[in-house]
Amino acid sequence: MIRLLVLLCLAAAFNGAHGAPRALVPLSPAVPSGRGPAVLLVPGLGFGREIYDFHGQGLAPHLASRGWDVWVFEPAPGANFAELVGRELPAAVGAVREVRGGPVVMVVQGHGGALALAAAGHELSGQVAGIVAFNTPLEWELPNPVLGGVLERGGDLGSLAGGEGRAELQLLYAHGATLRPDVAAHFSAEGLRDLGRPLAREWLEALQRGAPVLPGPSFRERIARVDVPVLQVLALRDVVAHPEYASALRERAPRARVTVRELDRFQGCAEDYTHLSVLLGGHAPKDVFPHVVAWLESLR
Amino acid sequence: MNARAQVLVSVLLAMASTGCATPWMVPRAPGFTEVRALTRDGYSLALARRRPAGAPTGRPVLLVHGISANDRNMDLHEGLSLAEWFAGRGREAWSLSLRGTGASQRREGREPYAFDAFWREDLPAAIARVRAETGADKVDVVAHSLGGMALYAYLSQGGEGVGAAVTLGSPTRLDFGGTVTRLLPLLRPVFPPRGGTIPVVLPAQVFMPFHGQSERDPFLLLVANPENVPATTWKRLVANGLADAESEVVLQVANLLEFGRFASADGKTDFRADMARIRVPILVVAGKLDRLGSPLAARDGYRALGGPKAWRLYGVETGTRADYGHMDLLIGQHAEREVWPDLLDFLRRHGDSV
Repeated sequence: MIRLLVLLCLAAAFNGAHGAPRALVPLSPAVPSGRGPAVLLVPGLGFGREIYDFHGQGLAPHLASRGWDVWVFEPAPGANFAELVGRELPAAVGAVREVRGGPVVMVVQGHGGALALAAAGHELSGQVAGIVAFNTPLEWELPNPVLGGVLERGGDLGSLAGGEGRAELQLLYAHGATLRPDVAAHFSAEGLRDLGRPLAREWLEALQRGAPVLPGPSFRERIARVDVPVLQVLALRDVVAHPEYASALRERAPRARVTVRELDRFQGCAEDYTHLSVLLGGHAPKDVFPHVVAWLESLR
Repeated sequence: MNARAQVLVSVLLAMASTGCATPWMVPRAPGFTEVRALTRDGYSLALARRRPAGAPTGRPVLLVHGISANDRNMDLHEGLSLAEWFAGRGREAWSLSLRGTGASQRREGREPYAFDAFWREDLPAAIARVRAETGADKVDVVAHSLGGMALYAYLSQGGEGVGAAVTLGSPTRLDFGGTVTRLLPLLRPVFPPRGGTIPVVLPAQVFMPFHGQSERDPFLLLVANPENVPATTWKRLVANGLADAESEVVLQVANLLEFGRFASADGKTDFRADMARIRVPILVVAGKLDRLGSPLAARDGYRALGGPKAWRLYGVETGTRADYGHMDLLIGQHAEREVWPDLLDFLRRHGDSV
């Protein structure tokens, strides 16, 4: 009951940039373990919280059902990079710590995940117990003309889903993927978010420049300061956040204890995972999630 | 198994391999001559030389294959030959068979050799031979997989005579937490046997009828994307383009898998660290679905290079019809249009005027 009251108070006070609401959704574990840090899942740029919890399935319920105290965060719509690292993520981590105390484990993905890593090296220093990073690029380059075109036109991912951009979305997120039927049918309409022109432009310029511009220490300096354990999951067929741009973490963050897991068919997986299928693919609960669970267990 | 059974199994295997592979053995395109190069340690290497059609348009190009392969990877048959393609565009093409492969000399009782022999002995001998035969001051190099690793090692240790280069699916580390990486420490005490030769050709040819019959064919899955490499092409490559592997070569390369270490066999020379000294322009190429020299593994080499350098990934997202696998870059059915022109373009942009 006390926990519920605290959460209600948190929800009431939890407003994002420019008054737009953020979302912080706790998932109660089926069997509360009372052990281990809370797990905060943060979607990548352009994704909503559904990437972790789509109609009751996904990594968030998977972890919750195994006793982890799981929170899914969705930043305020349109929050720019500086707001993400300086206000949104600290607010989310702070809110979870209010309830749970102690540092949290963050689960992050893609370019937004790279920003979360950068925050872990500066704003969130000392507040993070570990990070699970799904294809988080440290080298920011335009991966292909498709993403460039989408960002150039304003990054309206949610709007693209219903129009001519459907093929582009398919290529970016699910080319060659095996998705659950409900995900294939409904995720693009429910789980994608329009970036808004300013954020799309900022993302594109960062890809063209080679790194995001952040307040305080540079992106590279922030990454170098990350000193917590990191599980780096690399999906071979990710077209938005190429695994090869993420793979430099061991050199760029020498103080982080990085565990790498490459996922592709030759490594025994059922498919070569994409940006979407690595979290919502039909085989992800068998191929991907056990790596996350095992690594989290190692933190306990 | 008693001696009689061993003989019987051997005969059956030999018959099966010969019979299974024969229909897929194809001649290379006409118009080549074989030239030999002698290494300082006494190995005679085979080079297939293709003169340019018309006046030369740039430096000669030395083509170097990968592990457990031979020069036919670069020159499979008429109409599917990177060597023939370069020659048709005014570039004299030389396809090298590294020691122990193709028509190059086998070890035959000599001391075992490791990967180091390829960059320390074979590449210098081949480059010198091409320069001597053509009068060119420098040669361009297009190297696939382990061939690209040999080139990196050669250049990182001050190797000379290379004008510009392309590496295709060439890894400089492979320790990305995959199943193979995690199993390797368990296998290392027993595999591969020290000082031996690992048979690749015979097993591959025995299973010839089954190659390419399923998209789950583990051999094909590892090295090619069936959307790019039809079963017929794949079988031709197996019949003509494979070679057995020396244990010490595999052991040295296994260091990339287990420890992420791209170094000499004695561990004293760190090629990856020394790659920062390379100033030869290199285009680093990766296939999106390459599971051997994966984009992860090839990009590591790109990062290590001193530059000038360029990076190119081939997959549907960049406009190709299918995502490229490891061998697709050489024998993919659309590589001639989708990949090879970019290689030539890079070499041209970094070439001397002729």
